[in-house]
Amino acid sequence: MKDRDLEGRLERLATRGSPRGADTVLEAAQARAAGPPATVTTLRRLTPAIAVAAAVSLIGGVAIARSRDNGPQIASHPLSTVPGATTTTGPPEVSIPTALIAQSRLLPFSNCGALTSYMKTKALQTVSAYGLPGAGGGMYVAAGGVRSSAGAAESKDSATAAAAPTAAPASSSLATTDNGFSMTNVQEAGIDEPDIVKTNGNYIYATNNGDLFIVSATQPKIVGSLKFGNVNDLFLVGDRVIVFSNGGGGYAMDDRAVASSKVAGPNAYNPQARITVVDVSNPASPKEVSHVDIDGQYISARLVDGVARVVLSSVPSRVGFVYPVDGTPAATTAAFEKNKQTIQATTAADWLPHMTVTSNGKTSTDRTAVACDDAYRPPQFSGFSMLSVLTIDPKNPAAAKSTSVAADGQIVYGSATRLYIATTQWGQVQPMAGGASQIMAPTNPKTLIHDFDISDPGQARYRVSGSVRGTVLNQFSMSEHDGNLRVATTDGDESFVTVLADQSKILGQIGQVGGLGKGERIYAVRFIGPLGYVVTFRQVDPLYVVDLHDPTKPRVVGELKILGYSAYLHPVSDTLLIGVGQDATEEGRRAGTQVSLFDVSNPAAPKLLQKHALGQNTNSQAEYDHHAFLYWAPKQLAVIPLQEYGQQGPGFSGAIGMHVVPTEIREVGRVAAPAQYYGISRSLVIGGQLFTISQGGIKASTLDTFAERAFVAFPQQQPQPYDGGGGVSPGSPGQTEPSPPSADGGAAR
Amino acid sequence: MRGDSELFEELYPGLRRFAAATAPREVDPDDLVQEAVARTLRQHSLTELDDAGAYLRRAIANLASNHRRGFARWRVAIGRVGRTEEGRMAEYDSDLADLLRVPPEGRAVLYLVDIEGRPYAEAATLLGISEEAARARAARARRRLRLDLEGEQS
Repeated sequence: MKDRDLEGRLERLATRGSPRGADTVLEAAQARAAGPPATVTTLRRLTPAIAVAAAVSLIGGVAIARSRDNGPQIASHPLSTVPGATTTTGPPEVSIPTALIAQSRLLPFSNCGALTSYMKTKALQTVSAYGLPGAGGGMYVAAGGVRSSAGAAESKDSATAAAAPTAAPASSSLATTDNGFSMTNVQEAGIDEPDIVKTNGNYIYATNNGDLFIVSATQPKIVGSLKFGNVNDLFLVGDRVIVFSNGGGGYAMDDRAVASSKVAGPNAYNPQARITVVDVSNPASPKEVSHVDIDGQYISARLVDGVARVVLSSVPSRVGFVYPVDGTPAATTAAFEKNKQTIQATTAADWLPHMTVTSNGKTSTDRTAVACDDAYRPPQFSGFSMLSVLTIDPKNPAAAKSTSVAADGQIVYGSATRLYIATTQWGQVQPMAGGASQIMAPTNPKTLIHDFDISDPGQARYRVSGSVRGTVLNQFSMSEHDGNLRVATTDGDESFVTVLADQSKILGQIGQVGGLGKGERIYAVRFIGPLGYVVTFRQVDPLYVVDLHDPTKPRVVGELKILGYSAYLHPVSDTLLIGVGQDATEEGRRAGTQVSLFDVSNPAAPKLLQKHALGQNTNSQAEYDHHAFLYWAPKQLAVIPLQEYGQQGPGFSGAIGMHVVPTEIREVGRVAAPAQYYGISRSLVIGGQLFTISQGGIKASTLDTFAERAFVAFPQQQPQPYDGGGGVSPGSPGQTEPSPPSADGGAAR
Repeated sequence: MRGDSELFEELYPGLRRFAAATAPREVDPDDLVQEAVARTLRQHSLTELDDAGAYLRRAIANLASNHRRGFARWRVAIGRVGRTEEGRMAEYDSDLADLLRVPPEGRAVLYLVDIEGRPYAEAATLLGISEEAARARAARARRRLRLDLEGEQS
């Protein structure tokens, strides 16, 4: 007996969707066969090309010329019909223009030859007598340019212990019955963000002057330390600390290449980032487990389920460009020709970031962090930078794996399963006088957003990309909800909230609302569930409430205008929102830090419950770094750093605590920084105590009155013959403030 | 002598149907055909192959199962964060949705046997597996569809 029912269903399944036709499919397949492989990259099995590190690379924006000349490059092999139509089960039925797909889809390189030939072609179109813009030569004037180095190369002697902890032991224990402690203030619950201080309730792991310090929270004293010299920030995962450092690498000069009296160099700065895993199971004796050195700048990271995803941006700094010794046409021409020859001679390894892994004192051989066929590029030229997502499990750091895309990336947003990296599209390359070239900021800037799947604990995988009109402000400009990505952008004189959906081939736009803050730009964004709050500002602060319940029809449902603006929005309950920002005069002049309390119980009519102005000439680090903001729900307590610069010189410097209840914001107390110029950068609650962290040290105060209970000073930085630049050097000559309290100023001052 | 395009034009309707019957619900059948053809073309022209239709069917079936494993991981991750996929399934009637939940390997055998009318031995050869494996896959697929008809059509 035949199963008619099953046959019928198979027949219906076999005829689902609308066939594209033999010609279209074959043509696309032929184009694909001639070019890079694998279309459904989400599903690609990434073959580790090297034992320790397999990587996927994203190469930023190299296709502008071809797109201009021949139309969208990908148009010859359409990736998909309209998603959401009958052929796929993509979410909503929306029409996505093929051109949009073509503009945002990252293209994989099939092999090293394809990568090299592509990079060479684009580089030859861009190169000048000074090399490539943004990659060891030339000028880069686009928005979202290459990050500057964090500082000079530092000692790599990270295994050496820092100066012996000199802080005097505290005279008393801070033990309490309250075991609660606060975590880093993050955008999404459960997605940890790296910060300069972390705690597990027993110890505080803090970076100071670039080194790692472990401070007991119960017997306030430094119990252990590890010298790095250049720590950016860190994660705490069980008994391991992951330390992120920039500032490795250095200048590579090779005089042998100076072929004539007309050119000099090559002279390339090759910055490296270092990711170190430290075993802190014995806090008194933290020990390095292993470290990864990788070309580029560390941008940010996220920690989900104990696995770190590290975003790095590198430029092809291993290509050694020369430059003219003087401004004569002969020298310019000589340098230009030499640089073209240099590009012609490059191999794939010159364009990809390199890495080494050091474990148990043994360093692996230098290798590319990414296999060529795991490298991607967007169809629109976005520069020669490479954006890499390195996956590190601190339990097995030697197996770090990476995925890369040729793009600049600056802003990272992570959900439980995705990492979204936003990059600004490059403008045109324009020649400059004197033989250099520059990248112009695009006139209609677009933000490209690359979506990496991080559900596999072993490796991030590039998934899909999309583009949005305008530029994003920061990580809060992006938010995932019900599988859709909401993005707030400013383009010219108005702002937008756009909803993108993963339509299997593209992050396609399914809804958008514009017209927010005409003539203004976005100062703060917060998406909370199906609602979005957007603050724009020029003179007054419109707080817009955007209803995203229907992601295909986002709409502005409420608006509140007050003087000043909020730069950080923090939800304290379903109905209350705290804003930290600046008061402003009616002319739009900033008038000092203010903390606002909004009632958003009715999205159509947000209300300002109270505005707490903290005085003229004040600002708070929380206005531009949400990690500086602390909200301790059990006590309804908000703590922010505050710095005052009065007419008569420096005023208050420290942290200020506020009791936030639906009816008011009431100041609870203030903690002064150990010295005005240090400033307090972070606040933590541990065991019923408030810990405030500054460059001078860590101070413990009572949570109720903010009265000081103990102080642990960080070792003072010794005067250096050469300060690599970058950081403030506390206690350096010229400071008129008193020295920070010495270590023996210890507890219970 | 005919070229690839004439041959492909002839093969396409059958391949497209096979891909539609086999592809994971998230994958466009034409993309699957396209990918299979592209991979094949890197090695051979279609006319070089003894039986291009069989070769491409096997490529499609393999790609479909590769993709399905990727999507399975994705669904597990989505499930972990408490999201459902109801929205994505809404386009299909429940009986087609049930069928789509059967792994591509199983659907490939069912299609070749029930629709293309091939004996199990031929279907197995075509998919590069043993006849026993083909029967087992079909049986599992039918069980999954709560049909007690395994082995009826051989």
